[in-house]
Amino acid sequence: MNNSVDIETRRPMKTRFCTFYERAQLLIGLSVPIVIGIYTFVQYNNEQAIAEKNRQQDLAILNETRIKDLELAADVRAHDLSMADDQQKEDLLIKYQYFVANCPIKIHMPFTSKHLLLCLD
Amino acid sequence: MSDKNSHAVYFKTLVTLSRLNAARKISLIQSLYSINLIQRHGESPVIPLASADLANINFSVVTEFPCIAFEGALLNNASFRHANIDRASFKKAKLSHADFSYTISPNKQRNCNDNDHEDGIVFREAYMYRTKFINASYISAYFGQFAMANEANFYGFKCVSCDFSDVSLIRANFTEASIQAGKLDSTTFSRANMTEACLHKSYFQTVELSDTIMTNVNGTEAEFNKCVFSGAYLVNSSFNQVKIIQSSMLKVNLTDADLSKSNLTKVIFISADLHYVNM
Repeated sequence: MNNSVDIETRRPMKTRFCTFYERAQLLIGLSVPIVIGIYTFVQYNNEQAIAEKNRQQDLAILNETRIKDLELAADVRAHDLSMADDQQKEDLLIKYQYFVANCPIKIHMPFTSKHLLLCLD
Repeated sequence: MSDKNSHAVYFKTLVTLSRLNAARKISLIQSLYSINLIQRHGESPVIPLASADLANINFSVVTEFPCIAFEGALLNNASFRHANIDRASFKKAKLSHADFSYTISPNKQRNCNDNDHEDGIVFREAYMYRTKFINASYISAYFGQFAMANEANFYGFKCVSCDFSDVSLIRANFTEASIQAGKLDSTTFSRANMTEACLHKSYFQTVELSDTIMTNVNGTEAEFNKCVFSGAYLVNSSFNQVKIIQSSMLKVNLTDADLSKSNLTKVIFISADLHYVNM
């Protein structure tokens, strides 16, 4: 039994070349994952580019919105300031008219310090 | 009012005016005017407006301002177009570039309790650089006493019994203006333009008329006493029945001028152009 095995192992192996069919089969077998790999790579890059583009657009929109919000806030603030200023002037005018109406500032009218304090209050 | 109280009211008015906008300034002035606090009253109004900041205000929206006293007020670039400012007082006011075009002062208001010797609209000692009086019409106006109206525009200005004494009117425009029975003592008209002006019955004393353009001027029955006409351009002017006394006419152009029936006493003509003068 052992002899027979030795004989088999000692027999020089005959080099077996792949046939064209086998090579083609191998090539086809390999090409599928390669194509899938390339496709995946390209697709990944493409998706990355789209994602980057979308991100940039989002940033731009965000920036624009922020600027608009700031402008709007500045406008509102300016309007509020203008309104406050206008109101202050109106109050000042009313206060002055009250002062004139309540002060004996006509000629020959007695005008004491008490009157003055009352007017300037 | 005592002086102390009067000052308090005056300062409050000044402070209030300085802090108000144009529309409210007009409102404040109108309210003070309606209760007779800023009208001419003797020496000064109840509430004086001296140094009050009323510049760039358009008073044209208020058409009636008789007897108002804007004495010493800052009225630069203010507008009074078409307003009735009869017997108003702008004494010592700053009126640079102000607009008085088409204003009237018919001198009919008799309720201004003021000095009798200034019976009319007053611009005494006012600063009127480039002020416009286009087609304004006044009866009795006092521009006199050190007022400055250089380069002012009096185009079509009509005034009867106006006093321009001691006024500087350098390069002022009096084209087609009418100053009838006016008094002009020590007035400076250097390089002024008086084309087609009417100076009928006006009295000029020691007036400087150097390089003044007086083409087609109607100066009938006017009187010029000790006036200097050096370089004046009097072409085609009418000085019929005029009185010219002790005046000098150096390099004056009197071509085609009418000096008929005029009284020329001690008048010096040096290098004057007297072509076709009717004497």
